[in-house]
Amino acid sequence: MPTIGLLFFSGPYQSESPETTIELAKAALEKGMNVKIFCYMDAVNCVKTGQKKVPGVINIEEQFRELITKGAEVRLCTLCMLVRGTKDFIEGARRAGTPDVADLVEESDRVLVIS
Amino acid sequence: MSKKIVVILRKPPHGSLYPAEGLRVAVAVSASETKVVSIEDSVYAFLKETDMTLYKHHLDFLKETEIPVFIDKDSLETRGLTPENLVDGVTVEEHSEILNTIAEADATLTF
Repeated sequence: MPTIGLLFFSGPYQSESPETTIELAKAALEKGMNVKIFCYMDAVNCVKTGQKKVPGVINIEEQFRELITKGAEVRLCTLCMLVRGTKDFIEGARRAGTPDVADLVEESDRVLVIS
Repeated sequence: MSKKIVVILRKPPHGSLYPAEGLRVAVAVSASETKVVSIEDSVYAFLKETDMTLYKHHLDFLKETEIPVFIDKDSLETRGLTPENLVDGVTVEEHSEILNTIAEADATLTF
């Protein structure tokens, strides 16, 4: 089964990049593809726990929980988390480093960058 | 066989960390056949007078490991810059060569 790698840069609630990433990942999962997401820079804040639910606004935390439940692999840039003070993140996501970007490229049939 | 990876830098060195992070990732993927290309406002990252505190060590590593950093000639000229404005260790290439480099890549990582 093909694997799609998503190198993802954007934090939540400013642009629609997180929503785009989530929808792409969902579509790929629904087609039976493996999905690997590397959250880089502000994107590490997309998996922070405790994001307030606001009517009419897509809750990014919940969406990432759903992706992980459906089998997406979510890796987080540890240095990016440290400099942002991002400590608590959703279960199933895991800390990683830039060498994991190399793994992501090697393991993926296609890599998309979403900034 | 390892993949051909091109790290594409697009953003300016001031106002964002993208060039610094792009070079950090270029180091991280350097076990693969890696090239760095700098286009658009990212060319400002390689001017002699630019503060490279955040990424000089990455640039030095890329030089030592013979991973090329190509600067798009068109982007340079559009901004009134010349190769003489650039630090050592980078190579100015014609736009068509930059496009070929990108076209030949298995994966492009854009910053």
